[in-house]
Amino acid sequence: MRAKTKSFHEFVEGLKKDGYTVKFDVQLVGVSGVTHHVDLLAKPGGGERRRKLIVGLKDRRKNPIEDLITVSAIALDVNARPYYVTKGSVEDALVKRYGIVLVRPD
Amino acid sequence: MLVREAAPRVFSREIPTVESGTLIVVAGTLLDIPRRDILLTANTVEDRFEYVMKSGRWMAFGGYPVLERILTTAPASFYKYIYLPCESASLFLDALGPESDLVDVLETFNRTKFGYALVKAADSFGLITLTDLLPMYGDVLDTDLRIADLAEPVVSLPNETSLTDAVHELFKRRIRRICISGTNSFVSDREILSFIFSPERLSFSKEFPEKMLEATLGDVGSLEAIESSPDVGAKEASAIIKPGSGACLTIDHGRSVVTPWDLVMKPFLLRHLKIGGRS
Repeated sequence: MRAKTKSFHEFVEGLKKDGYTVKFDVQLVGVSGVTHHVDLLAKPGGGERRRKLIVGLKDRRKNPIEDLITVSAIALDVNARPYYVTKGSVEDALVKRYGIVLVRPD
Repeated sequence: MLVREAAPRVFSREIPTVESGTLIVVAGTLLDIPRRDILLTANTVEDRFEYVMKSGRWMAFGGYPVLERILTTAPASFYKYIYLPCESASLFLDALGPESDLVDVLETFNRTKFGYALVKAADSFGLITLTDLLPMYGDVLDTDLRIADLAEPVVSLPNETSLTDAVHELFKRRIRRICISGTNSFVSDREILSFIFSPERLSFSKEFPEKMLEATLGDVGSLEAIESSPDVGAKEASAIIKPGSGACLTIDHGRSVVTPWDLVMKPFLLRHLKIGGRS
């Protein structure tokens, strides 16, 4: 199981310190033309070449694997790096395969 | 024999489900974690029972409808297609009544050419599949047929066959597996789906949507068939195939193939299947 190093609060504060603009509950249009809802969008400062980040918060109605795959699919479509906040554990191989970074909730 | 007597666990186990509106790319990926052939779709978790009882059917998302839809989609739109809701790549499963027996189930499988059916009970419902019937051999089911009586000639294509041609072949012949020429390895619709929805292929398809199927059979994962003797009985053969593994048997040095469908449906259609001691 993959260890989550940062809490959500630490993670968000860290993003701001790194120059990201953080917005919650954002709609983003992907390459597919589909509008996705993301729980958190972090965009780098103007002119920077860093990729934006999207963060999915655990949806209590879904199982974590479904959530994780959804965040990964949206990230691909909107050209972002995927992060997922969960207190549960997710198999290491799955996290690695879908290139997701886990964040622990506060 | 009533389904609730022959397969009581069908009503107590969890049915793999995704919410309506789930993207095809997500549902398609979930089919692999763990490997399964279908996911039922529901508006909310709570309304499943009421919905099935009222409508008498349920939508099922699976590999075959996904590939069928891909064949009618313009290649330039392949990537857009996988971001549609999964209902657009689903089919309806009929729900059988609470007094349904195994003959009703087998007739439904034969009519729909799909090894899945819903069965209602007084206060619940279950999903019965072809692979639930395989382990019933020896206890509930019996046949005198050997696998040589049930086998079909193998459909083989060279390793370098394009995925587009291979998928067309699956639908033209109404089969689920294609053998890679000169091997005992098979590629099924499930392996093609796993390939299409792999993270690497998805990234590629975003860049080059029209090239999503521009790969060869050899690029897709395959499953080794289990070589068997033609004289093995269908009953014994059913114990060799692990339920849900996607495995199949070959005989005659890989020239003929026997699938779980052949092991259950052919004895039934040939009137050689005894159910609960009756023909």
